[in-house]
Amino acid sequence: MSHALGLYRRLIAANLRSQMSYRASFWLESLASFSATITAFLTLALILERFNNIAGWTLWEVAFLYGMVETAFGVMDMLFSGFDPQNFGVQVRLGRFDQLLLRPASITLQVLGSEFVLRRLGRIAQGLVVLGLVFSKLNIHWTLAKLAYLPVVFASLVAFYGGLFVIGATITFWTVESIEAINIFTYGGSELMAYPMQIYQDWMRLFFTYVVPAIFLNYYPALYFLDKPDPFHLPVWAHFLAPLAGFGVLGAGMLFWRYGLRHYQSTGS
Amino acid sequence: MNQARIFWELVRRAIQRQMTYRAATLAGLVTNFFFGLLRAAVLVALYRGSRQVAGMSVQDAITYTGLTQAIIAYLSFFGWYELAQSIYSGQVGADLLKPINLFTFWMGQDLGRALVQLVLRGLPLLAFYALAFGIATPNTAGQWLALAVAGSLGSRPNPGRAGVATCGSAPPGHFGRLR
Repeated sequence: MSHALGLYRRLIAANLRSQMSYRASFWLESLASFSATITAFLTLALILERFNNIAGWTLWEVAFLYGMVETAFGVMDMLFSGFDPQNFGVQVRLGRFDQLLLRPASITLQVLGSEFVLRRLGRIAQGLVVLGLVFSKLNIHWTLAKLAYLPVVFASLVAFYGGLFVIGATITFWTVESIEAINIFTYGGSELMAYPMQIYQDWMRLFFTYVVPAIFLNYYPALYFLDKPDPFHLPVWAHFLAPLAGFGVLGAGMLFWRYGLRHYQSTGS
Repeated sequence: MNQARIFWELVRRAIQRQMTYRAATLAGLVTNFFFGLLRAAVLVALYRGSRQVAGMSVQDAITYTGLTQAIIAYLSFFGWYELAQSIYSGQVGADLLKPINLFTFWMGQDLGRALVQLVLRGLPLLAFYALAFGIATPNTAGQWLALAVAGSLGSRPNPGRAGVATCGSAPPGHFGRLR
């Protein structure tokens, strides 16, 4: 275990060194990602200002959903860069993944350590700025339970998106090219989760409740943190399913990944 | 061979090449439509109770998101890196030796790619939108003409377009693909 951790740390350190050798590029890209994403938030804010609310949610309540998604997705996108389906598909196609398989170390650890996209810090910073504004503008009635649950929800979101990336990467074992449709779950899921769920048509909401349990990761915890009533009248424990849903999806992703590894045949290139 | 013939030959080859990626095109279409559904849901919820905002009805606003989704693929909104990659790999040296202007060379290939993406991805997407929500269409011949001019002027290799797509599509996207 400590050997594995040491190896991971070395891989990441090497990765960071190579990224920081293009120092100006790193800062420019982080800045670009920060300004691009903050523009998205400003657009959201301007629209909500004009319309006052969306399905009874005010600007800062929606911003809570948005900020949690942005920060968690950014952290995941950095930690799980190696599993980014777009990037991983290229590794499979060029046969670079086969090189990793030849090395005497855990393949999962190597993929995890193969990329660590530091410029995602721009998006993470944006999410944190939005969350900071939310906590100063909204009068959230903090309790000990809420304070304890917040980091759990955050970790669950990261695990959930990470699980989706792992599933998307595994699919490329068969399809080789990353299929754009996986974006529906990763980027689409994150966009969907940034708005209150009652605005979606029933079939869409039910899909993101029972097939992909996205609703329990951000929407239900937000109802709990903001003391809002549940329009769907699920039992009260629905607010606390985030860790089960998030780490459940990551666990399912890892099982699928192991299944994929056993059936991987290489492209021969 | 004259430049124009080489150009149209490049266009033809690019069309053939795009046509071999039919599954990818279909997957892309599904993805664009899904994002379109999300944006439309947000708009419908926002408009609840108001008929017109800033001179736009909910139908107009939905049409706008439909258009932004429909033009993503053929205008390469998420960036166009082929030239940059050819410079990185050195391929550009060989391309410059070819008896055709470098811009024309890329323009031909991108035009072929764009045509396929427009016909197989952009137009079906608008058709789905029309079926699912109903969309606003131009009323006069002049408006149709303006639409055609705007649509074709956008089709040109352009590496710096990534930001525009998501900035332009109200309500906002999350710049998920920006890297």
